[in-house]
Amino acid sequence: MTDNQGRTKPRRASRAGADSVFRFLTLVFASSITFLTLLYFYELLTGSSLTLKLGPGFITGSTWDPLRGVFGALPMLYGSLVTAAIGLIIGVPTSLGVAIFISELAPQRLKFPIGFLVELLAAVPSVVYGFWGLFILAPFLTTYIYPYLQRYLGFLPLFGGQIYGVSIMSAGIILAIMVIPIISAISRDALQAVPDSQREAAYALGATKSEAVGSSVLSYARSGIIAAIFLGFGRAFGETMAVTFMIGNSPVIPSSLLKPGYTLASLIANEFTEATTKAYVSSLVEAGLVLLLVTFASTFLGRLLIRRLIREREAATYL
Amino acid sequence: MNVRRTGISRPRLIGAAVVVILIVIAASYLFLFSGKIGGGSPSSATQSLLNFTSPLQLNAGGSSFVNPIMQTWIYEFQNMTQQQVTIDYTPLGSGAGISGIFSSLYDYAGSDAPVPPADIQANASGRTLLEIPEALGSVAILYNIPGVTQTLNFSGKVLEQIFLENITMWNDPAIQQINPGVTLPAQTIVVVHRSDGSGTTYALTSYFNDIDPTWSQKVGVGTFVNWPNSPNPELADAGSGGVALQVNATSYSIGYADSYYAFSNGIKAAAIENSAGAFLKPSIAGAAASAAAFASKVEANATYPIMDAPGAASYPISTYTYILVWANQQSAQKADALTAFIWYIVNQGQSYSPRLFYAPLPSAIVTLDESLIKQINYNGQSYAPQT
Repeated sequence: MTDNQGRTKPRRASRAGADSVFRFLTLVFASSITFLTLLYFYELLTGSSLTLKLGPGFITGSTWDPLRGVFGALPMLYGSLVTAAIGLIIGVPTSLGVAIFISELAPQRLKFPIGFLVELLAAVPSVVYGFWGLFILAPFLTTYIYPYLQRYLGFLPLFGGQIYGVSIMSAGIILAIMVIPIISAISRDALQAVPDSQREAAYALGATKSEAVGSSVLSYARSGIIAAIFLGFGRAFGETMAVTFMIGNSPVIPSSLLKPGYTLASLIANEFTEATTKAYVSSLVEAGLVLLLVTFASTFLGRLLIRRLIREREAATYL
Repeated sequence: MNVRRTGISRPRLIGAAVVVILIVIAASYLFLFSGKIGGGSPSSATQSLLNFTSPLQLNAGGSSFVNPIMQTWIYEFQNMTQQQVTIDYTPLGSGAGISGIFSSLYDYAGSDAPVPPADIQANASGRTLLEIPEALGSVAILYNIPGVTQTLNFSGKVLEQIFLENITMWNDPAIQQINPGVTLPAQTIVVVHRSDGSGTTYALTSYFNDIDPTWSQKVGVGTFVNWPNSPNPELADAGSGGVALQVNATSYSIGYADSYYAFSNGIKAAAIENSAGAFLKPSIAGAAASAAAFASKVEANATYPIMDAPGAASYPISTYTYILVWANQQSAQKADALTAFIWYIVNQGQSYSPRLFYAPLPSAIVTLDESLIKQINYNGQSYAPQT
């Protein structure tokens, strides 16, 4: 602190005191989060110790027969990954479209209402999504979408066979709807944070609107958008209630995307109350551990990617 | 220099916040002041059934089969005690009820499946578990075939083969043979079963095992069994309500649920062939006839199964559903409240049965239940009315 003649004034003790209290409090909050995460891992590891000993058969075995002590969760892992992937494949382009529209192309008057409506999607409870999906979306898809999907893409085994309204594909579609608000909100912030100098530079070089957005704005906002996608993946991978309504809860790897499947989260939700033996409970806790590890790995990879992108961008800016 | 204003203008933000707050206030008004389910408050003119100085909360859960009438009983009983006793019943399935009573999470549980004696041995630690028949109902076989408005007939054997996935198409000759006047489509049968531990599953699998003793090796008898998944995947849902929902929403599906869900939602329930060769839809009379056919057996052993009962009027997939409660209670208040509640259920509570599609308990069973209720005690003291 300097006074009006440039001399340093001594800090008064109470303000320095307040500063250390502030530092201490934030340290407590930060370490409590770390502690909580470590506690999760610890609890999941000890809770699943019985079946962890059985080795990798948990995620490579495809028979789930808890009454006879066979715990192969590969169908559930497959279901979780594939539904999240479908959710992202459909959801990411849509969210980016929404984000780009709101941030770059929409007239000023439309920005708030559209943004508000998209974020309203995030306020809908998961169970309501499941209900709506089962009664409105699934019949709609079965009548109008899936038959055409099968007609044009039916040569692929992924879209062949009997069409089910509750299926991997339906669960993926509802996940796409659920991740749109997250990815579009964060992407929109990332796009709006791009300095105008980037856009102006592109226009100065003669770019059209779409060329400007595609070349300068999107690439500058890349790290934020990637962060949004990984967050969306985390949400989609762990989503329970909406998926349980839409996936059919069938513990096999289906031969096509239009058949029912199972996810790790639905498995835990459906079978926890039924798990009467210690091995059964341990296997469900292990499913939770797998869920946590995959989400953890994806978040970690995401952050690595973002850090690299930010470094690249900073290097490019100072060329 | 970046002069573009990002974000929303402040007045607009404030306006939006005001709108949201108003909506939240309006919504909470509707929720808080519309009263509990059923509405209205009990009249204060009548004396409370029990005289507790402090309110008591009972936790319970289990069978979704009994849930429709259980919620009615709870509402009425809470009024009778003028909210001095409140009961919270969560219909997570009979399996959850059984584990809940063993872990002492629940003060009482609902289960359509009797508890295997070995499990009682392992978990009782010296206590006595009472299994008290509280309601009598039927397991309806629900189906949804677009274009078929008639009632389908199934024999026990055909139904069992469908659930085993040996019969996979609706127009299979075995089904067509017992439904001569119906045009059945050439579509795959989508089987829906329970994803949670269910007494309704127990009743159905018990019935299948009666018909075909190899069922228990192939699939099993119990609240949670190993349903086949090939050649076609089967769908699974939580609760009788969940299965009914799924059948309602899925064309060409078949499932099983408490008959309440069939009658109240207008979903088609099939007519099943009983041991006398008659095809009967689930009904109050059918359940009552099944119970009557096995009356003496049930009086000797409260958990005797009543599936596949003899007699032309018996609906073959009927079952009692039981209240599980420990005889020795941890407090006088709990012993008193539980005794009063279960006494109410088996006596005045039975008047609600017909309108919710359960058969009332036969009077001999009510007497049996009363003798079981008298065993609920705190330190040897019973709170049952002196009859």
